[in-house]
Amino acid sequence: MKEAERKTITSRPVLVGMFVLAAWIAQLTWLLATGKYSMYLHPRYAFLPALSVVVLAAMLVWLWSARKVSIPVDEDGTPSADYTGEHHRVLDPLQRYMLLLLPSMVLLLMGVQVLTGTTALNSASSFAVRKLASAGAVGPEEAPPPPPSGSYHEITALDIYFGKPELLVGRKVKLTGMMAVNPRFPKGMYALARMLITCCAADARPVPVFVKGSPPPTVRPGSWAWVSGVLRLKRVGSRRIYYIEPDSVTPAAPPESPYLY
Amino acid sequence: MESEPVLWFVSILMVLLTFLFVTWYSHEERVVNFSIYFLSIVFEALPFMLLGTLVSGLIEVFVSHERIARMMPSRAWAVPIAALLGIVFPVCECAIVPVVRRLVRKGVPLSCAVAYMLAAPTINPLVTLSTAVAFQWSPLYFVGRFAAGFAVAVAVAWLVGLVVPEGRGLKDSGPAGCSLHDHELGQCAIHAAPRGFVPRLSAVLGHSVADFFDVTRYLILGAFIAAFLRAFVDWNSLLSIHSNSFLSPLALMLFAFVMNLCSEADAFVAASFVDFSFHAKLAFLVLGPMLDIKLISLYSSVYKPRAIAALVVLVPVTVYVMSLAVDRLQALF
Repeated sequence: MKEAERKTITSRPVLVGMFVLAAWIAQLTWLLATGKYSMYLHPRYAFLPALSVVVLAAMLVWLWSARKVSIPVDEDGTPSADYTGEHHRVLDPLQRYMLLLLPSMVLLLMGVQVLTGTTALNSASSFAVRKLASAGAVGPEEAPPPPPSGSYHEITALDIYFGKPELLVGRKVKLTGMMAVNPRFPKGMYALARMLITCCAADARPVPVFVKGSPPPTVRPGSWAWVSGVLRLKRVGSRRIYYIEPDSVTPAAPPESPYLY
Repeated sequence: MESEPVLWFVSILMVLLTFLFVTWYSHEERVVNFSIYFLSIVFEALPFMLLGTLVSGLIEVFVSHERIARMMPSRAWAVPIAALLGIVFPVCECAIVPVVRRLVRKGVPLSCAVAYMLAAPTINPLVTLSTAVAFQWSPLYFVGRFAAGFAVAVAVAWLVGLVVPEGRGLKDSGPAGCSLHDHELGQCAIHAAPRGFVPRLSAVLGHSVADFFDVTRYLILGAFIAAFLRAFVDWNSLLSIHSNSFLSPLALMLFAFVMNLCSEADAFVAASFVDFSFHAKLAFLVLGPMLDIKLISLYSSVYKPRAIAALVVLVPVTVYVMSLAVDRLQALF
């Protein structure tokens, strides 16, 4: 029986695979180099995409080394009729790997954006409200040094949730966040909220800081604002509610790092 | 692979829809949130998926069928021991799927594979530690999660072993159990028992590459659906069902199913459910690492529809029964 002729070709599925891996490496490297990965992952997990790039690069090298394959061909150089492999095809592997290009495509078309969500802010904060109301155990720690006369001490919701907010009561404070209104909020108050990330943006949940009064018409729900005022404490039964009595509320652009970690 | 045409169709459809979707509505709030949820789930799971594929490659090259058969304990103890093996592989649920996929191809019985797959993300030391930190070292939570996770994994594995006959729950993976033999990469030079460190290392990498391309598609598919449901449906109303002891575990289980959180982070989210009782939070903590939207998609890279259907029914039912039993026990003591 005559042995079929063989021809060495560059496997097209391997080339498609290399293209997919290169796209992954490019997007992860770009996110790491620009620091924008923190829009998706907690900054302390920067090593995770970095490790991914290393492993993907090793895989890319392996594919490069495996790109040349030998296939049986007929006399005219076309793959022989009984050859069932796909090394000469490009459409089939492209279809199969298409889904792997979806993250790159979404990143390319949407860009890096900030998680918002009027609905999330307004409804999900209901469970945060209860936690907030019981936050802030009184401890012996000293209050932070007072800011220069007339200036405001910049705080975040973390100072209220996980700090010693009672030490800041009566101080001039300022904070930024997204405007949130919710009927579950204490009466006569709205809130400025930011998303708190534990691991990645998929676990983000809004944490509100209450502001006394009605939201100004210049700031729409879900948009960013700065509020400056005095931090006050209100006791409702056994619960303590910290809120800001505002001097001013002004619309603002999202901060460079919009999330809390 | 039997589901390939379906997956191709879904792939093309998803890519086209996404293109139209994000091009026309790129500034719509829910579309923005969808893109962030989708990329977050994928970027967070990717390194663990890669780790899983590397471990899978190591198993393929360094662990023979015969060794797996020798390592399997007697039938009665096989399932609980397989579940306890989850302690020694401290990663979340995404990494476990490629590993289990390889183990079942090496001859590990279905029930043992299910026990290991369900238990590992729930009882591994990192998850136990994160649960302890999230709940201020309250043993009720981290010991409770470990014990309940182990019990549910063993119970579900036994039940799956009963309802799905051995050999009919796993996807066909070709005669040699090596995905490099399939389709695109053609002849598999690395499968011919390579000798020496470098050729073996290369073989490990080769199998990892094949696994990466095979399994990551399912991750992306699952992440896409999960992100869509997260962004376009308001699930937060579920959190208002906290006072009914029968409904509250169901509410949090459904929440866990759609949130698709990593098992190393979900305890911090659970800790914020201050209105919910312990048994409801326990249901959330146990179900999340075992069953969510992206996991169902990932499981379909290993199991046939019959086994997946068994998991989709048995896991929530067992978790719910466990949760109600815990509630009754708490009432007694």
